[in-house]
Amino acid sequence: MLRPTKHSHPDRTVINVSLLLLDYLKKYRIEEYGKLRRKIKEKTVGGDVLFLPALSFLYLLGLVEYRPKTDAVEYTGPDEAV
Amino acid sequence: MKLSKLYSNKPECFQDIIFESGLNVVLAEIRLPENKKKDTHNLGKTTLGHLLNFLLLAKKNPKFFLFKHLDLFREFIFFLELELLDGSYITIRRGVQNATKISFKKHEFAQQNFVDLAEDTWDHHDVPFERSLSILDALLDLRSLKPWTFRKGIGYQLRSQDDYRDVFQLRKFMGKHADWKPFLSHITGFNADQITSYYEKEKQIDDKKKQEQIIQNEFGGSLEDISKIEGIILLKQKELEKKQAFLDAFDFRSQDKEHTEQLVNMIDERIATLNAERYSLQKNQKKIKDSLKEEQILFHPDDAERLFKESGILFAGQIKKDFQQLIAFNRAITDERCAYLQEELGEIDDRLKEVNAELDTLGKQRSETLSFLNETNVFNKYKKFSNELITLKADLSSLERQRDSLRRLQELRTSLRRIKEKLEHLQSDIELDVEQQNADPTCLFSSIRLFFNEIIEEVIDRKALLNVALNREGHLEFKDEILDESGNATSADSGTTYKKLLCTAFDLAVLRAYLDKKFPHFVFHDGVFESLDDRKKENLLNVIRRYSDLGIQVIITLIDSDLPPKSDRNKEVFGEQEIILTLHDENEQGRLFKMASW
Repeated sequence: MLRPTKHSHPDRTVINVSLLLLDYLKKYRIEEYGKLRRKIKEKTVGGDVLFLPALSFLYLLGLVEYRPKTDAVEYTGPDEAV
Repeated sequence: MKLSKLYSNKPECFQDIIFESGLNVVLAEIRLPENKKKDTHNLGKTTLGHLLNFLLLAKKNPKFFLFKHLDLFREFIFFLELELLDGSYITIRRGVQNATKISFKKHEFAQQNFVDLAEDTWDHHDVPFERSLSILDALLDLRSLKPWTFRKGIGYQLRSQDDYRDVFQLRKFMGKHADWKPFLSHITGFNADQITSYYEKEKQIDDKKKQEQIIQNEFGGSLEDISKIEGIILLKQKELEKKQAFLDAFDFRSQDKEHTEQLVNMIDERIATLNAERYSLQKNQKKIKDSLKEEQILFHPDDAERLFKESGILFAGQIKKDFQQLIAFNRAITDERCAYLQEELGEIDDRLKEVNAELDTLGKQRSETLSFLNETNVFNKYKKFSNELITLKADLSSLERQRDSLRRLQELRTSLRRIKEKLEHLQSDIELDVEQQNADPTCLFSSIRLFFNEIIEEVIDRKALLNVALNREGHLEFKDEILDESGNATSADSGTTYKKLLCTAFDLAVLRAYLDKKFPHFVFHDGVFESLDDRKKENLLNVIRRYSDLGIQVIITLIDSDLPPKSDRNKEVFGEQEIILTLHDENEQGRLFKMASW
């Protein structure tokens, strides 16, 4: 699922959507789940479908955390880009 | 959530304050005899509360002492360590100069000093204010406050002298009731959604009434006029139809202009055909341009590799390689298609140019022909009729506008009635909820009520009542009353002496009711013993100690003359452990900020 095949469009892959997520979260640190999903949907075709797998992927890599009180996703990776 | 440590980057001016998990005393000693009679001592008891509020992300206020005396405090950076509900800690860093940029660090152990922590070691460094609020709210995880943030109730946790005037309405809640009553009803266990929507509905009614007034002022007239206007519209429409029919029946051929009319018709027809063709061509052109655009690939393998690397993830060249191959493949199949599309686009562009040129010529021809036609007498007549028709149409549209406004007025009134109906239903629901909560001895509100009474009874030996009822407008009214021996309300609660006690009791009762829930577990009471007599101070201290033992962190400030009497002559009132900060008036070293008063 992560490695692209010749049939996949490079923009419509988990890696690309994770990248968009990572780029956004590194800049804004925390964002509400719904808003984040909307942002990704705007940015790439099929972003809404790939959103959750991409988020899970980043979670597996230890780069994001979910915060239930505010229903938000927080960036928890290294901080050097700020 | 409890306070753990407060410190700054200038320990010589502001000493570290380490909070205990139970009772914490900030004691101010008035050692100079000339200061004994003064009301204010300027040592920093109240300032400590303000400082805590600042570190718990209060909005930047130019009147706040740190910003008012920026020349003194510019260089200060403060750190507040908080204990979270899961036993871990978070440190908040907020400087004076850059007060809207806040940093956070989560850690496992208490009593850290992060003054010299490198920028990249903070979990979040220099985050803008609004984002910081979201981050802290998420990390504190005080779910019992949901949907409000932790900031909404902070006034009940950090009672300053100004907040002792009313038990329920804090100074910052001086505005509309809709801002704070839903929150207060939520923490006291009532259905806050109902109360929020009650205030919303009231606002809707207000708005609609304003709209109604605007329409009435603009157009005048009443709803009775609607029938009159409809009548006039009908008459004018009939007249319009008549005139239109006359114009339509105008026989151009009888005026020996046959060839002219034919010419016009032919030109018009050709123009219509060309317009249709231009439309279809432009549509195709857009489609092709869109599909050419769609085939762009925004993904950059190099950026992906860099960003993942920055986040500490390495794919050992895999991502880059796979995606580069994929992009090459995509480019190969789209290149060929692109060529076809480009070719087609070229053809369309050429044809469009031709069509536009022909349309220009035809347009010129038509206007020339028409100007020839206009010169005849017949067309003078035609013009006259047309003018009359225009006046008639203008009259009609003005009447129709008036009719529409009146209809809107009618709709507004209908929806107003509907909202009022809903409001009444809502009021009954709220009444029912209040009744149920009042009657249920096991609910949250009853617990708060019982704890509240227990505290007051223990301190002044009188019963006290927390009361929540609906007033005439359907709004919740919160009341606190001290009862006399026979159980009737007295006016003792209206005096300032007991007001402070009631505020303290309410805050403690709420905290106790939420002891095992995701709720703040600390309270800061400024000058809590002031103007109470000795016996009562002792009783209140016993209550505070008992609550501290239950797991509530109580921080109190007092001056030595307000100290409760010693129960044992050889023993101090407070243990060394309990006094977290001693201030005195002998010299600058005795102040919270070791500098001249500002």
